[in-house]
Amino acid sequence: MMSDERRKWFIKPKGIILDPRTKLFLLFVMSFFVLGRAGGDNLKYYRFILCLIPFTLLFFMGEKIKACLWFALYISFLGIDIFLADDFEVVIQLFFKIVGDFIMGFIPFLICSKYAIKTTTVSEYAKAMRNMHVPAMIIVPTSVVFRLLPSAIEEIKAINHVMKMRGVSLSGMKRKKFLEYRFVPVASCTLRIGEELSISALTKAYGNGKRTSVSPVGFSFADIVVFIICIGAVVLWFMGIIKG
Amino acid sequence: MERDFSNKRKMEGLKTKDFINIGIYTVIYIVFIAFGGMLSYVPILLPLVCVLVPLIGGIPFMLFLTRTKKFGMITIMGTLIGLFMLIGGMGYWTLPLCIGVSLLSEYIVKLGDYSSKKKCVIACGIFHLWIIGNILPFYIGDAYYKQVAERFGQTYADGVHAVLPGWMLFVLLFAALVMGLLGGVIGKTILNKNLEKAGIL
Repeated sequence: MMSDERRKWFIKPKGIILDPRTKLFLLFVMSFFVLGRAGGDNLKYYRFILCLIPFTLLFFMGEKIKACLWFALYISFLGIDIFLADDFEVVIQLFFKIVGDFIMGFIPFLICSKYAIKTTTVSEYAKAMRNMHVPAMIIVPTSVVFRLLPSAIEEIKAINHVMKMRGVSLSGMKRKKFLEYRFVPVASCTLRIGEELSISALTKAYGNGKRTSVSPVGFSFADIVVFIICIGAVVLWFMGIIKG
Repeated sequence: MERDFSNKRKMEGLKTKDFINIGIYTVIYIVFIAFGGMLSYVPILLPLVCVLVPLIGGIPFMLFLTRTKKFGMITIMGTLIGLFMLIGGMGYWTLPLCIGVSLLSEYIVKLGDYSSKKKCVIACGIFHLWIIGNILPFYIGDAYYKQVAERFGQTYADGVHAVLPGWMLFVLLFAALVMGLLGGVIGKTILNKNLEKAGIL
């Protein structure tokens, strides 16, 4: 994975660096407040502040054009939602509501998770989790998942591509074998990757016992800013619950 | 040295290799049900999700069960899936439901001594009851309907209310169970046919 090579401890990475613990907290907060819309209408304006975080992170990661485009899309749907929504007919209003819900909720969360996965190496993540005294029972499977998930998706895309070329698709010749010819290669591929992961992890004595690590893990100014914004959301939500 | 053939030997704790296996199969499972997961963001399609996910998820789950020989593996996998659903915005009920349901399937698989294929299929059916956690918020209190009305408009919320009347919960519960069992049977067939040939089993 590219991020692994770029994130060796002697190579300074691009963009805003956050501690893995902050990223995890950010993901939880984004999922709870932006994706899940906790707090409802009261937090509508604070949600906008929360959504500024993923676009800023994306911008400083080097993807300036993408960040600006997504932000423009977000702002336009937000504008439509606030100002124009009641003027449309029901059908168009529903369309804008559904698409707008996706763009204002899912996209910022997706950008956050993409940022988190791309800029965290497994050793940083494991070290941060160990500092929080999370048991190996949780660290090992979760780090396998987030290490394997991008690779698994790439494998599946490749397998779909190959199978399409061989005519095994829903509109192709070998329709009956569709499920089999997609499932078995995916399973055997991922299992093979998993076996190799297993061996390399066992070689590194991963999981059991005390380990030291040179990964840079620690809090910085950016962490504090993100943390304060996220805590603000939680506090406002609590106050909303207490009030009514 | 005297050999120890007692049952104590079989009750080894979970090792790193098991944790890694759990992670791998969780990834495969999530990738398979991702399609169903995408659909569940649109509340009106939730009944469809409750039927699709158990069917599709049965296959990777059966694959996972071929590697489960120790107690606790299914529970950790269920907890991870519950956590992913929590982060993915599926509400608080999915996590406790996942844990409870995976403990149940754990016991069922253990009853079959980790080698009974019938018990594995039953465990698969029971495990997929976690998908009901997605629609539980609609039945517990009014707050969720208000949220849907805020997000998508009142007409939409009324539409969802029409699709999910009270008795639908039990229908979907039953459907999830049946689809989970069906998915388990399909998984078992595919496994028997192919993976023994490929040497993975």
